[in-house]
Amino acid sequence: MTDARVPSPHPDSAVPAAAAATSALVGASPVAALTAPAPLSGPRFELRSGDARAVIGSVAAVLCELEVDGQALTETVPIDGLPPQGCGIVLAPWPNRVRGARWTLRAADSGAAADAELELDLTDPKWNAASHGLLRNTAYRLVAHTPSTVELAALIPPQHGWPFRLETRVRYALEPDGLVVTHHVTNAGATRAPWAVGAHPYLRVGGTPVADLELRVPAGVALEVDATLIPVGARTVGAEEDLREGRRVGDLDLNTAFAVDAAGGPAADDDDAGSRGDAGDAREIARLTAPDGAATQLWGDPPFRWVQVFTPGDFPRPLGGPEPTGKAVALEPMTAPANALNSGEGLVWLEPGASWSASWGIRRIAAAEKRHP
Amino acid sequence: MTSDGATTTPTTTSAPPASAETDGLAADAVSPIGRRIHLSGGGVEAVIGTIAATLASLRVDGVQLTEPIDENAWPAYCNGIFLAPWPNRVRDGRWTHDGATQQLDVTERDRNNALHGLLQFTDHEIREQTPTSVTLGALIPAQHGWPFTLDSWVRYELVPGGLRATHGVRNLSGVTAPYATGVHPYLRLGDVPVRELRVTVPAASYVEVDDRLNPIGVKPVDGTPVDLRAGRLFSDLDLDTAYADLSPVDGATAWIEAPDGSRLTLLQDPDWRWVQVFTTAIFPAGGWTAVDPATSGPDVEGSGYLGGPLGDAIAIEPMTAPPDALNSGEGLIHLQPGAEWSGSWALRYTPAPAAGSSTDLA
Repeated sequence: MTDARVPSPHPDSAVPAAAAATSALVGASPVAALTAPAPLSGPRFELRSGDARAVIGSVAAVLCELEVDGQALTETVPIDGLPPQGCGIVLAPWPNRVRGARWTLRAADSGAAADAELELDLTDPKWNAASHGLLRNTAYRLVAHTPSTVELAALIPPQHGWPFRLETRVRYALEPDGLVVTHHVTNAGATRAPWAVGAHPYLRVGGTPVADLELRVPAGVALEVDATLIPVGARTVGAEEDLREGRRVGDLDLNTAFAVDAAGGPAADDDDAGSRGDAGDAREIARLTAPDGAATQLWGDPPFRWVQVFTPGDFPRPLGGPEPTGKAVALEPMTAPANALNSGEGLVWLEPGASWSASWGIRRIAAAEKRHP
Repeated sequence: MTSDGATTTPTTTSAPPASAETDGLAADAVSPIGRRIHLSGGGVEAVIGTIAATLASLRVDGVQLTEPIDENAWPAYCNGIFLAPWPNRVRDGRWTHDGATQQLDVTERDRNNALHGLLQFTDHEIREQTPTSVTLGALIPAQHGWPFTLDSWVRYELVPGGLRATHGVRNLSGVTAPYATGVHPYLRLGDVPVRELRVTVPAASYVEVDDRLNPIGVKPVDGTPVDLRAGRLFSDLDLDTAYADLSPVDGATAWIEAPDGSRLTLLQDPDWRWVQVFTTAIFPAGGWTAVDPATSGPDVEGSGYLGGPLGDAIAIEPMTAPPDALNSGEGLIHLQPGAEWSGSWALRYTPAPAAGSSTDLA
């Protein structure tokens, strides 16, 4: 048996090897334990709580599966595929796009003597942008795994256009009716650093075709974008995008950021409303309701002030799933809108050593709990 | 709790005293190259950073043999970084696999290429460590333009007179995956001015490149200023050149020599059939240390960082494949599902001959 951690010298090596030393294996590596064919999202962790089940993948700390009572709350990331259309991935240290993959680090924010023009890697050549942060292709390391929780961590190192060090963590905690997701960050560098975070779940309500679901988002303001999908202003929601009273997903064609109303409803219908997020005061961000009254709710702490609503018509689903390739709806909680590194909108500036955390989640609301029968 | 509902904690004001383990940084701080791992034994000292499995320093008997990366600095011009699953460039970040066009992230913006693989900004896990060795590992996940999953690792070990590094990979995909690797050390011989170093590479060919540094052909070095077979002074060089058709001398594929006869030798396993030589006169000693507020546009090196003072430096990069190998196929290692590969390179220091010991006097 081969142990990749303790290599043997190449048989034809011209390079002299050191004398054998007693090696100390440091911890167990979930990556080193993988065998081919491995899941494309890296080591996976299953969570269970009551009749709820979730699967988390290491790469991008991706939410692969979430179900309650056998009913899917999200689309599925296949074990042998990349997350389809960003399904389930964590977006940090910024969600959505940075225009031209360039941004200005202002002296007023950095404390430097002058502004600095920074250039990120071009990760979205089609839209000439840097999309969805810097952890999309990072395998998080495992911090802790219990039957109902998993905590993953990833360093965001300094790199092209990003002269900062952030130590980030994502904790998934499964409860009998859904999932609580907590993002945590510490500025491990020596200078002030910007931070924003989001996530890219596609929600559903069991096997009901997504087109037949009613989507409700408590938002009266949407962001105006230019031809490259970068925000250029805000507008009062128009008739085709006013989701406050609910609209059928099949009638929507959106890739739109909404500012969630500060006066949005509480996160839960029952007496423990507002108690789910670590920061308290969690509120409903969006709700999908099936014709039978069952619903899937997206909620978030107040920092998740924006939600990107994306309704592709070609979301790929492998054969055997609840429905074939077709309509899907991403409901992306975000602490900042697209292009925040340039606009400054929603950015958190972390002093050296400072930390920040906030939560969002997804829960199933059974038909009997239907709020507006 | 702040008014926007997020929980925050204040800056730590009292940093713990410096120790060997934390390299002078506060215990919860991370250096720009990640955790800095110190190896020491037999007169050899090395520092390895976990981001990009970077070789941050190598000293033998107190002689500095690579350009060091200071503890609060970023690697300048890719100093010391590990390159996988390809070294050097992929033209336009685009290549073809089984008839399908693959578009990688463009990581060299000004030349529109994908440069130096997928691990340049990846923090590695420590898989094994002794006082004189460390193995760092990372997953190379499937991503834009790269439909494979690889388990990648690097093992550094101190050896008499220097350092040996072994790069390893295991294909975790269900399909055959291409692979190539390299490393980007800048070499020196203590305090000897770099421009006084004589550089020798026993290579019969070099890779001709276009203005974006992508290959357009392989040519003999005969009669050209890039012929390093007989050695040339650094001060006569202006190179960013891949060498091929190596004729290693006792395993040595390149060496630098000081006027006093001391020498630093690069050794490569048989699979490592190329070496890239890069010379610069604007290398910031110790690495980049701050964002450059004066930078007013895209920076060639993507740095936007300040450092200094600027001086001469020479990178000599062992590689298993030449530039743009994903397109040419040249040098690629093809890994079946579950298959592994490993290969080594090493640096070995030879002090100046002691006075009176030369065989010429016999």
